[in-house]
Amino acid sequence: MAEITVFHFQAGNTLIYRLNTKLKLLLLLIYSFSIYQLSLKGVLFLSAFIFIAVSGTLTKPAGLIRQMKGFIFILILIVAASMTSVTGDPLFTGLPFPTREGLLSGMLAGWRFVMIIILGLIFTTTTRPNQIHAAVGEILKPFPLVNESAIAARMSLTIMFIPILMDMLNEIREARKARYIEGSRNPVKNISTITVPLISGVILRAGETSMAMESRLYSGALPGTKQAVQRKEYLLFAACLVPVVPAFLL
Amino acid sequence: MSLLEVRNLKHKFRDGTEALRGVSFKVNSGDFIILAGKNGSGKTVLIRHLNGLYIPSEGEIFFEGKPIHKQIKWVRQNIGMVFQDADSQIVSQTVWNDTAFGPENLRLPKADIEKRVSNALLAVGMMELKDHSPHNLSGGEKRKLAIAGILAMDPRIIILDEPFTNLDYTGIIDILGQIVKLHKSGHTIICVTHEIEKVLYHSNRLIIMDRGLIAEDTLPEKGIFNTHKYGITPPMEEREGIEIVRDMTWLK
Repeated sequence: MAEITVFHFQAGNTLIYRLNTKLKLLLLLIYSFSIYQLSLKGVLFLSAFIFIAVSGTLTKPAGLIRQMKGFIFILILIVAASMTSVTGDPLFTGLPFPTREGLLSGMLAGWRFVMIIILGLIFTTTTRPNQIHAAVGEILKPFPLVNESAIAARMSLTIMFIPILMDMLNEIREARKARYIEGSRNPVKNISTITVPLISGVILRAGETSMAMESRLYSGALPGTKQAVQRKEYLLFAACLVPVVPAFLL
Repeated sequence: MSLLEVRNLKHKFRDGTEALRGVSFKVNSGDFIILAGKNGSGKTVLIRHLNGLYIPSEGEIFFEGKPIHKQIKWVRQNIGMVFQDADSQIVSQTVWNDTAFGPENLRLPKADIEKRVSNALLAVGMMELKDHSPHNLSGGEKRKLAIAGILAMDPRIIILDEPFTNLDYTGIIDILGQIVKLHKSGHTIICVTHEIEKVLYHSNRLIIMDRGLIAEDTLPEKGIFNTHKYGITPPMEEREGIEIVRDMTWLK
């Protein structure tokens, strides 16, 4: 039985589950954009609201967030890049980097990244994949020369593959530990012993899955179900936008 | 007329490996065929042709007398295939949606899809798990979900590729029970396995493949005495110096 459930739909019945997927997607975009535009205070204010929303919508938020430890590496990279590139007051005398400004900017960038991941987590955990597929299809439909159904189907499949990839990664890590490769000081060996089996596993799995899909008559697109937006959903959408306004004023 | 007919099927891979070297056989409606053979004998390559997933280098396959390559959608609807790795067959994030994947691709009306999915999940006893993530199911449940996904397409023939692989005792009993139930409900079954002692009792034919050819196509009670020649564990055991044929089913 798999241990990773992050980015997977989990049945529930809170308000966010009942919100129309198009509006939910729009909220995700507005919140993500805001987080990258807001000041530190604004980001913290909006984060507080997001955390309240997480505790009210997800059944086991702490467990899900723990499963995202795979992202820690990217988080460290973001903070490190900022610490070693932003000029200002050096933290250690005699060394140009890291700087106080770089550390603060790196922490803010890292925090923004964490919040974006949590927003994605709320969206994927509370929205059925076929609803995501239908909403993306509907949003893209007015654009000419865009195969909205194929793009929507690929997006659903990509979301479906995230926990599988994380499972594979965990297995590879454990196999490395069992063979004492984990502690190797050679960074090239460290990276290659993870990426080579991961990529070959993904290619094999994708080949088998595409064949299984073909045998069930998949032809490049999935039929979606249209969802009409109701008045109470617009009200909920507006209520979710309320904290964004004061966040910009801070 | 037979339901499915394979005539002189050959398949050569790009590297020159001849996976099938002229396979011919017929499948009659209501058959329960065990397709056995050691690893690399060509079993999986053969069944992938039956579903139109592989194109033969030579030879032809007929379903209800018509060549399958001319009506691939109809053939895939009528010949369902359960893959060896159930995980690779799962493409949705809930049990219900995954079962609905095939009927949705058939572009059926919503009410028909719901009816088919509901019937399929009830048939495999997974209705109460309909909102669960397939990713978190046990091995046996995943395989039952894969069967439900095929059942929802309402096929006449169901092909199962190594259905007992990686399952524990309970899982094997559960899946075997499902397969026997499917056969009793009128489906034609082709079960690919080398663990013949688990299922042979329920079958009416044993086909053994060896190096890309059909080595035996016989009654199960006759075929069991030759299995050792083709690298399949003989379903016999020795008790007090006498060779005894095992029960040939794990269902009690």
